[in-house]
Amino acid sequence: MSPLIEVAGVSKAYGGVNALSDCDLEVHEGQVNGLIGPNGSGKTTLFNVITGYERIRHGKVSLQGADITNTTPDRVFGLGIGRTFQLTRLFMRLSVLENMLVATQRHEGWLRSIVRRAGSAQEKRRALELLDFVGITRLAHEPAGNLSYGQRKLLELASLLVADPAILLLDEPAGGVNPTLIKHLADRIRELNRSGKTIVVVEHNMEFVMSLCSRITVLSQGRALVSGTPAEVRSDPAVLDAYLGGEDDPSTQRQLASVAPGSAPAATVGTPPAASPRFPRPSPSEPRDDALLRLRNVTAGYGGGDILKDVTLDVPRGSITCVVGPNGAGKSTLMATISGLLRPRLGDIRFGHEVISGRTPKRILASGIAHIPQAHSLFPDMTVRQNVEMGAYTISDRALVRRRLAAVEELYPIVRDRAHVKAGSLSGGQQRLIEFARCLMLDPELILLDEPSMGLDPLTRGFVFEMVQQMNARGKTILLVEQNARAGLKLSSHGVVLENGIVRLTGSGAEVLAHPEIGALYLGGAVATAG
Amino acid sequence: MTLSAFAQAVVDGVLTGGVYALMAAGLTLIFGVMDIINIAQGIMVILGAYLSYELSAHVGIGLLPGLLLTVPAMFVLGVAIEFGFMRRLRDQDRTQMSILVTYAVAIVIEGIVTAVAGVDYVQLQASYVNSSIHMLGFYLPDIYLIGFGLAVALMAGLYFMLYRTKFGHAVRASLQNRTAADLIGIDVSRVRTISVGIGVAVTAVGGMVFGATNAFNPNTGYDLISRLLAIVILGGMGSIGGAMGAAIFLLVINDVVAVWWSPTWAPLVYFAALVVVLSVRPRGLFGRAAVRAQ
Repeated sequence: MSPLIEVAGVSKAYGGVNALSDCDLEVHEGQVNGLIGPNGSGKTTLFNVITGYERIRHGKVSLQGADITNTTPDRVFGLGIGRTFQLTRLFMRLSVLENMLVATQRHEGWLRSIVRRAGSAQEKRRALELLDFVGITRLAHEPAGNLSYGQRKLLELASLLVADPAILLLDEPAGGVNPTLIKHLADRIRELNRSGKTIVVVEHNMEFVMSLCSRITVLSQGRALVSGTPAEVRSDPAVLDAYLGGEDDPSTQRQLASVAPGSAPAATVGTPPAASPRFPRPSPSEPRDDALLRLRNVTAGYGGGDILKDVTLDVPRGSITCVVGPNGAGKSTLMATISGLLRPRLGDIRFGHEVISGRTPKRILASGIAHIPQAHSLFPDMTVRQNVEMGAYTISDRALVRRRLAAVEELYPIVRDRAHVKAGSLSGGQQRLIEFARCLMLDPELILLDEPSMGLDPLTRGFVFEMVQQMNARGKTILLVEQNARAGLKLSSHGVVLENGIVRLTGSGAEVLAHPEIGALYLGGAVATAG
Repeated sequence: MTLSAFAQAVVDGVLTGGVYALMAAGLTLIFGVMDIINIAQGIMVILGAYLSYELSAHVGIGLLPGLLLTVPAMFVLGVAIEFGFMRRLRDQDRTQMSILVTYAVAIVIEGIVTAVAGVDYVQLQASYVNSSIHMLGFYLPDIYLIGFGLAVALMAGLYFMLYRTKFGHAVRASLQNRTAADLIGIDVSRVRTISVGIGVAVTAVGGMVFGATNAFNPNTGYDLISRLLAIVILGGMGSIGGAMGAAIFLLVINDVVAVWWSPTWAPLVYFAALVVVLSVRPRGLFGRAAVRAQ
């Protein structure tokens, strides 16, 4: 049977970075197709290419054999391919019902749409039916802005159904949605599928994807890595590699694979909580004398939702502590909460003996915590020297700044060699060094390092990790967030596993790395153990 | 049109362009730092002109020395407006909302100026306002030379401030990467407030020169703001050098058309030039997308 949608050899690059390279995808009629892959693997870009939001020069997209490459979004919609977006696009001040009625106007001529009364009885009935289908009829007259995040996702799905598209592309429908609603959402998607709709889901929630989809394609670095049933995908070691990060040294990989489930390593402490039978609870909060940074019951988030939930963890003095966990686990939020970019709602954060939670970023910086955010934190239009000097912005003693600059140049000769080059023109690895140099200008005691290896090739990544170890050897305590879990944990003395804003596991780096559940954490359900 | 008339029109355009650049510099600076389109910039220029007028006509302080008072006064006004209105705008729709908010500010300032000074047209007077020097076959009005000189000096000063001082580095850092600026201890809010103060303060100088070269009343601000926006958009929003280049480009076109064809057609060609350039170069003449990339 030929696929309904076929994507063949599609490549798409943004400013030198390949979002998609020679990517293939088959969407089969009447199935729920899943599209998964680590951050930045190109899932949303692929949706954008199919729906015409991105134009491509290489590759082909066809619908039932007909070429629809580079067709405009409205035409693609007209051909019966509807999509939702990662972040909902609704009219927040209009009521839920009005949002639905706006959707009814999308698929008729503009001339008719301006002369005709809005919301005929028939359209209202249809809109209410769809709201009923997704289960939010009782909210019909609420402004969309009052809806919870999950309810907005349901509304978006309902408004997409107004036009009755044959194929639904859903971009992270379960992202940020609470577990009860996720189950409801999965039911609705199954129901739609039973009524004959073909569905493609991009999703990070593995349990959701694995239970819903009949066929899953894994993207990694812009390429389709594996396609198959959920069981096939889960048991493919290449998939786990894509999520945990490629391994430069195969011995650790064997080590990871050889640990049989059930042989709980030393990291397991305490009793498993009822809510999460899969994971042992981390050690409760007896203060450790060697802890430089202590978080106690910290809850934090943006807007309406909590991203970190009751997080308690210690960062030992002199350690490299690595935080790993799937996308959306709250790793970057954790960093932002410590550095003061985000204020915790509950709980407290101590640095040494000082309580720092609630302080401004400037004061937290002054107390000795530097935060290097995810990639692109330099000032691209300033020179390397200026960027590094900006690190000492809060120091008014010029002699001290000069001494620090000299020391940093000693450590990273590139700061001297490329002093007058614009920072934005450096390679990714070089930029990372300049970020390190900038942060060392204040000689901080603790460095928060958010995904230093993001976007780097393996060789450069190895080099950057060496530099991290070097900073650590020079007395800096480092709290590291790393998408490449294997490489990050191997580097670290301590490991923390975060999932859905909850600390699932703590231990030494090696213990966490060897824990049998870590694969399950990324892929949902049982993990492959075949070696 | 003779060649000499054409050349004179070009020279006039360059000099007038300098004056317009002076008025547009603050607008582009405020946009660059705050993502705010300050619709009140036009009326602020007129307010600066009225301040100069009051000082020279009623207190007896000359136009140039008067700047020592009007520039700080306008700085304080800018800081107050940033504090009172601009910083309250939410990040996600800051630019759109700023148009409404600063339009409201413009109406309030216009109302106050009208209540105090009335609606009659006035023009600033000084010994150098109506004199000119004759050089290389061109007539160069003194006030335009002074205005052009002030424009070049102020633009150079702004450029020096942005690229050579610690404050300027903080401004550029907050503009290029707000989060990273927060994380190295820059007080981004204060940097923005002071930048808006500076952006409004330079309108005092622009207002003085504009008021000496044009008759104005409180309504003049609206005609002015559309011209200033055209300059800032054409120059690439946020680019100070771009504002200078775009102002000279548009005013030369304006003056050449006025002499060669008719003054009636000059404004039309002025705005048509904006449309034509933008259709070829959507970023404006000197705009660089990379500067604002995160």
